[in-house]
Amino acid sequence: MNNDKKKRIVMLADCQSFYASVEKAAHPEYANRPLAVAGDPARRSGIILAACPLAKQYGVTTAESLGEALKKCPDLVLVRPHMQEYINVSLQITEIFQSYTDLVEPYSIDEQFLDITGSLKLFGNPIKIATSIQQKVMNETGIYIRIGMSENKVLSKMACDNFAKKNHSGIFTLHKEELQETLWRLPVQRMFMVGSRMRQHLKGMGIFTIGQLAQTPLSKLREKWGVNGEVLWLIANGQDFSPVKPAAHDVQKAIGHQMTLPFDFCTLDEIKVPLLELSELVCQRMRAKGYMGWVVSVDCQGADFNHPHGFHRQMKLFDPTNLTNEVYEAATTLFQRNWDGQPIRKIGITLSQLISDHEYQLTLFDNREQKLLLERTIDRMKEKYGNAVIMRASSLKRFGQARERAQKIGGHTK
Amino acid sequence: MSKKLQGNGLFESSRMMLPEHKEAFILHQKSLQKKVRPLIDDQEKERLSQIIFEAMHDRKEVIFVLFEEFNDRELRGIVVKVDQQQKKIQLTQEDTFVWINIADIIDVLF
Repeated sequence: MNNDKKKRIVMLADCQSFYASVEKAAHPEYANRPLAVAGDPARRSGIILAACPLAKQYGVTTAESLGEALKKCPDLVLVRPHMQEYINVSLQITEIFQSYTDLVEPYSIDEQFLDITGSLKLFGNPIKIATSIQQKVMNETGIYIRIGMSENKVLSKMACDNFAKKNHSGIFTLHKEELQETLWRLPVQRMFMVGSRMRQHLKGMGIFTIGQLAQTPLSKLREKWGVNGEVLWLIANGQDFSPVKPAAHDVQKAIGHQMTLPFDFCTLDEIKVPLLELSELVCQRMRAKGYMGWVVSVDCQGADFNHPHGFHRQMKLFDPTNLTNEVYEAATTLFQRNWDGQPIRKIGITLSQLISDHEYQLTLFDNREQKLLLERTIDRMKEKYGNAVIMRASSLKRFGQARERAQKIGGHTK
Repeated sequence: MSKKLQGNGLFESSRMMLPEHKEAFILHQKSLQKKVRPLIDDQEKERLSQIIFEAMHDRKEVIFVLFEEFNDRELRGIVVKVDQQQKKIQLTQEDTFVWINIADIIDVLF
């Protein structure tokens, strides 16, 4: 359909204050009041997750603590997160986009890429399409989206973050030919993929603007950071051939779960409780999707986020598995071998090198069939009544997280 | 070689997706491909049954196109038996026998 000479038209659509906007759409009585979505104040997660534009006018920012936010804006309406609802609305927006083009790729819960190159004959010029999409999303979900447009994904992302979010219409086209007058004038930290640490490194090299980065010889960047240096140079120069690929989500490479613990876990016996819970969650998902995994990995992080310690280690099993106990045993072994004894605040287990569970090697001395049957029966109960319907006795101890977690998505309330 | 410079690697490695969101999206994509069972016209039904009976009579191999929710399936074989009661047809493929539901047949090729 589209040959190399013809330029693509790629959009990045971003939802303004997504969580807060969903809540405001669901509660019209708060329409004219400052509103913020915040995690449970009783736990460590008592921070602002999203603030509506009105709240932002008071100076409320994402990730600050509830106390600070209320000091700036005592009138603030606080809502607990409803993660499942946000996922549903995000998919509803995906569906709206799909009525314009089949090439829609979610990048996060509130950002999605669209390639509308093939839709111009049907819906008119790009600006017209962008306006129509923006209106349709507003009418159907009450959410204001900003759209960055260009000929590839990195430019459309930067068009959105740096220009569309700041102008009146919420729509901006970044032309590759005009980078010199637009993107290149911006400080380098405004570039996609440049964080605060990279900004420091670049500053040390005398690079302050995106333009300066673009003019730096590629060889110099490659020498310093390898592939990552090349990636930076390509982004600064607006070069990117990545397709907008809806199927990009199909291939599953690994299944993992992690959790932030509500307080410091100090002994192996304490940590074993969430390890078992995580093994169970991971295996439950493996079985639901018909996979077995060869490699178990364990991630953990210490309590003091300012002085990070912890490890990430993996090991290959003798046989691929999706049985809770086998994964748990491997995870415990890994943990014992690598843990330095310091308190733990965050822990995760991942199974990778996946294969189908349609056929597997029978092992001689242990009755996998029966264990699998038991676990599948438990899966079915959980599917029907939720994950809290049945759990290990150890989860009822003070260190158990399963009950809490069954109510949550991404660490926030469903 | 890092995958960041290939295909969609840059975005797949930097993407922030909740597992629950990702799963819901894959399910949504799959449901887009779901098809509706076609209604077969009476004349088409007559044409298909004629082909089937001729093929059975001549012991000729034919290909059945069978309806499935996501992808039609093709099955090659010789018709051995037509069970009017159960609305099923038995095929033989070399040394195996299979039953197919008449309701699933959307085309017969020969």
